[in-house]
Amino acid sequence: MTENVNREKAIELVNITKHFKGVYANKNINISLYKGEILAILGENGSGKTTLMNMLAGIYQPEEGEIYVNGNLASISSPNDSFNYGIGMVHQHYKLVDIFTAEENILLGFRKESKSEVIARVNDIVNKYGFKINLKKKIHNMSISEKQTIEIVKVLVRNVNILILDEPTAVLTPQETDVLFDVLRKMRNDGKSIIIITHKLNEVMAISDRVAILRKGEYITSFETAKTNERELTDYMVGKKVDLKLERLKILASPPVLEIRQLNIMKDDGTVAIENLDFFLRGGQILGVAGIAGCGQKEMCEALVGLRPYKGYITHNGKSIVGYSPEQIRNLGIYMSFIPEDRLGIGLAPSLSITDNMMLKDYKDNKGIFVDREKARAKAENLIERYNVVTPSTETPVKNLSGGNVQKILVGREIGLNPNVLITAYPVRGLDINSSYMIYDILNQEKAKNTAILFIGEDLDVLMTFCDKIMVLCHGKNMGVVHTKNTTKEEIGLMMTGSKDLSIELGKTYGIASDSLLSEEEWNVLMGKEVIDNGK
Amino acid sequence: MENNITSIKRHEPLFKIFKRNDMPKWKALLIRVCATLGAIIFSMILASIIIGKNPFEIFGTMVSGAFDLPWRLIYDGVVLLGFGIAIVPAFKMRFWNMGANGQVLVGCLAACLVMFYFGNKMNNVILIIIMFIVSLIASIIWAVVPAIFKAFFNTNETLFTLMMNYIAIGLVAYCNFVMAKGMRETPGIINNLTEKGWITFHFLPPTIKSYILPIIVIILITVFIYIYITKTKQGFEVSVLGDSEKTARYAGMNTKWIMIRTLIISGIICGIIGFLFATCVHHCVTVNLCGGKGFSGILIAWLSNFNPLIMAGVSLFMSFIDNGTSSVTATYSLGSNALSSVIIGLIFFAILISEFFIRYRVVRRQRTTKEAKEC
Amino acid sequence: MLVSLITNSVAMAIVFLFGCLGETITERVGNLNLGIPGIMCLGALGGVIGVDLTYIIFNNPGWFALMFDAIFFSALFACIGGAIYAFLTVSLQANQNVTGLVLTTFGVGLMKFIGTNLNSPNLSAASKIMKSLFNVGDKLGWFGRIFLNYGFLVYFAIILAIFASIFIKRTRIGLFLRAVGESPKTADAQGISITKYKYTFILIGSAIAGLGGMYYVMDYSGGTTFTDGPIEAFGWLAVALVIFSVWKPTMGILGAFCFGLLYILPMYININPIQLKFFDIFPYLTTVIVLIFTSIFGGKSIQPPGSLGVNYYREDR
Repeated sequence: MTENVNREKAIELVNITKHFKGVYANKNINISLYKGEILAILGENGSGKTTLMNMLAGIYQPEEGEIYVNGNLASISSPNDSFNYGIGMVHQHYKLVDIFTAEENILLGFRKESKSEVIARVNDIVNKYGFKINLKKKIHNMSISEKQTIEIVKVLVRNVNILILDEPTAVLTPQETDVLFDVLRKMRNDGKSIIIITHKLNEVMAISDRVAILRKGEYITSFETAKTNERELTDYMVGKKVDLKLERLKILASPPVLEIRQLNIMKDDGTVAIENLDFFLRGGQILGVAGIAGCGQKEMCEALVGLRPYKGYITHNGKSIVGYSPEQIRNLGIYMSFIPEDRLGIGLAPSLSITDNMMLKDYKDNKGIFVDREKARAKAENLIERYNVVTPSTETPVKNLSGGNVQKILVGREIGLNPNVLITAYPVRGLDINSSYMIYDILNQEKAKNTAILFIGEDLDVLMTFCDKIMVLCHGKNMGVVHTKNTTKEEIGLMMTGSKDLSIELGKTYGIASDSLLSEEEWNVLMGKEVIDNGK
Repeated sequence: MENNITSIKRHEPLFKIFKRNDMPKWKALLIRVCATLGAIIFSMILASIIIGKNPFEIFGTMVSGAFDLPWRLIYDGVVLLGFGIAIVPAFKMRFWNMGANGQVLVGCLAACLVMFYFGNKMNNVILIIIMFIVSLIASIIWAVVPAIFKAFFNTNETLFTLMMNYIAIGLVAYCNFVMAKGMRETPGIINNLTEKGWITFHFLPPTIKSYILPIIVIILITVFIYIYITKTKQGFEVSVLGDSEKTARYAGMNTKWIMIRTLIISGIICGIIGFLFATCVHHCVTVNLCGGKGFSGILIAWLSNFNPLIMAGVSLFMSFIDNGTSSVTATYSLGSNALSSVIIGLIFFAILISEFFIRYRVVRRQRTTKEAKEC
Repeated sequence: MLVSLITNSVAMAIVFLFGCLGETITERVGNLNLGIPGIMCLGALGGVIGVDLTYIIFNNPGWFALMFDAIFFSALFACIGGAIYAFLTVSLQANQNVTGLVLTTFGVGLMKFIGTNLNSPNLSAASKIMKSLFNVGDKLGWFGRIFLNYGFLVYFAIILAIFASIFIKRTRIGLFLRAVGESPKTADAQGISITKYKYTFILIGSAIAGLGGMYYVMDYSGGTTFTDGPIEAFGWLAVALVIFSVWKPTMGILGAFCFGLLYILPMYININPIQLKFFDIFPYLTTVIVLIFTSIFGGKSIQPPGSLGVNYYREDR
């Protein structure tokens, strides 16, 4: 569609094919990167963007097809080859050794060059692009954007001309993203060629010169960014016209089901995950949680279902459930569908069959010492049919299923248990649009059944249209709870970064229900404040 | 930089490795059988070099020696199966119990101590019951102590159970010395004349009278553990915990207790084996009683993927090697029966290699058309 | 008496130190090698074969030929064991624990199988020559008797441990090696060849561990006990010592001495032979206690390498 006959190609991919477990990750892909341009590779999660780029970085090897670098046929069988061709990749999950300092990480892979030589190069790059780094700092003490900077510097030090960034903005705040984009533009003006992988349309429009679209492992088409628009890109990305409008059901919300006060949680490494958090969930209402990755959402979910120790007060229908075991909590009807980054960490036993995973929560319910596999199998069959799970049989290990099917099984099982509180984190991560909508539908049905839903999301657009209210977390603190109809994306973005704190600005305490099932006196008793009051 | 690029030497790896989809079962089995045969052929050649006889003769000695005492062959195989089964519940939970040796040893030691000191002081039935109970208690302690520390402090169980083996061996040496009043290393066979504390079936032919009970009991245990792991709620909990600890906790399981309970079961099985050694077979306890059976049990359980039928087959096969080589050792007066470990080591190396080809596909790099044109 | 207690402990400690050093290097590159006991047995076997060959070739070999052959063949045999382990775990992705156990079974078996059929009349003579080398203890008073009263291999082991410590901590290759052990994904993405590093350091580690077996036969036991010696048990203690020393070679020196002392001490205590038997379990008991203590009170600085025991396959997702 685009004609660039006169421009030199930095990279040309011809008929690249690669598959995992019999499923094509990439199929006959043909894409070119011209010198001195920023090419966005756009596609949904699971469309094969990362796999394709990993072949350029030498992590994977194509089964078929050729790669040309600067017009010459290249053979990239290891990351070292890739560096030799002047290609560097910033991976989505940063490749840094946590217990090393930044300097040690940058030195990795340099054999001949002396340390001072490398440091001098680092300083050049830092000055040129205006990075801020502390070379002596250990990686595990760094913030996410600091880590990303180190990652980029680490790649640039290798004298790369072609830079690939895999979802670089996923963990950044809007403000940090702007800074990154400025740097990328500077690099382009220096003559470097850049590929940026993303599934966010606004970023494609903001940064790229050209955009190539992948769908389900296949190359669809490419455009000059200036000559297209978000609408058109979406159509090509998802394949068929979809309605971007999500439905927000209007349900009369009931009194608070779950009330949380003064919640304090630690991360595994002993740092603060959640600090003095107050909030509450109503039946028939979806409370969204916005925040950049790693700001305490995961720890909060784990604490709510009894998997992580915390300090603070949690009541369920006016009754304190502090110190309850996961089993006691689940007996109250509080269920969690939690998809961590490694997807199968909590909620499912990956090597066990779908049937076995079905009975994970209720295997104790029948009498006797034996498990009732027949019942579980029937449930599995039912769920497979209802949610169109693609699987060879009910006895297939869950880890062999694709991400979307895993998610359907997890959400389906949790909902099948008739929860009154449902905690769901990133429920559509890695799913295609149609599966995502199915999950949203399921959640809306639950909402209609008066279930209280906590929805931890990553896409602000979805949060804005799908949730009733949004709680914004920044470094484990509640920045305020806003009604989605009264707010803007920009406002939430500012709150996510901590530059706007409604609780300070408006002098209002967020997260305390006005119609709490417990009176303030009862709360004080629960929280052990009575003694202090008497003392006064 | 661009000059660099053209000057880069293109090196294509000869082979590329990809994970493969499931291979047909018969093919996987065939590969394993071939690997085993290859290893046996190799070790026969090695043995013939050391011994200085032709490999076919050695192999002949091995086969005839192994089948000379068929009940011995079966008994040894079943004992190995017992060690493997003792390890299965813990392994299902991804708990590396390297200490089956020590667990059996203390069980046998406890029974022998009772047999030695109380043998002539009480009714034989009561004596045997007491022996049974102390065997179980001793073995359970040996198995469960590492589990408790693993459950509460995440203490490395591999090394803990390993060390417990040697502590058990030290205890056995010490107690034997005490029983022999420091005169000899062991007191010899206990109650040789009175047969107090022995379970013997005098009406059976001598070749099987001491083996029959262990064989029956261990087969029953195997069936029981198979049902326990695959059908019961407790077995389900073990599988979930082995797969993902967080998931197990989320499902409301008491992971610490499951870990301890599972090792109690391991301990009970080891205790029964130790008890059978003391009452039916050996009537004494020595530091070499278990040899390397604890480790063999781990290998059997792992490579059979916990399938009890395959485990039984592999155990019998290992027993065949063991008995065959000991006949080779005797025939050619080789000193210690170490040939068995060598062959078993080689066979397992070969099977580990074949596992790779079952799980991965190795593809020779082909030149693509475009590449060929260029050259 | 105190002097001989110390010197005997040190002499004993060196067996553990070699094994521990070998395993430390292997674990630092991310591989838990439970085959170390087998590798030490192979090393012992190799050393004995080397000495035998030397006597066959030269009728009355000099110290250099003896020493060289003993070290060379010991390291060679150990490396063959290490190479099998490396091939299976690194190239063929086999489970590290299982592979290690098989290697131990094999190594111990091979040592006994070949060793008992090996006629080695010259071992004790060779051992005397090797022990007296560099042994200047008697000439330098008490200092010499404590610090310089050993065979060459003792100094070699200690120097090796100090060198390894500096190498791992201070050099570029040491940095790469730690990166491979901590996070092979990262190291790989930086163009460090995981396969090359793992093979190299598993082999080096195996060679060093093998020397421990050779040292036990040729130096500590004076060339007498060989095939029925407790090398396998010492191998397991060496594996335990790695934890004891929190993956630091210099701590390994200290730990090895403690183990040696525990092993030797009972012989210096005036008790009857029955009680003496009981003392045999002390080194193992101590290891267990240390294991428990480090797991309860262990801080961040004494954690094992990040990828220990997990094989690296680049295309894993």
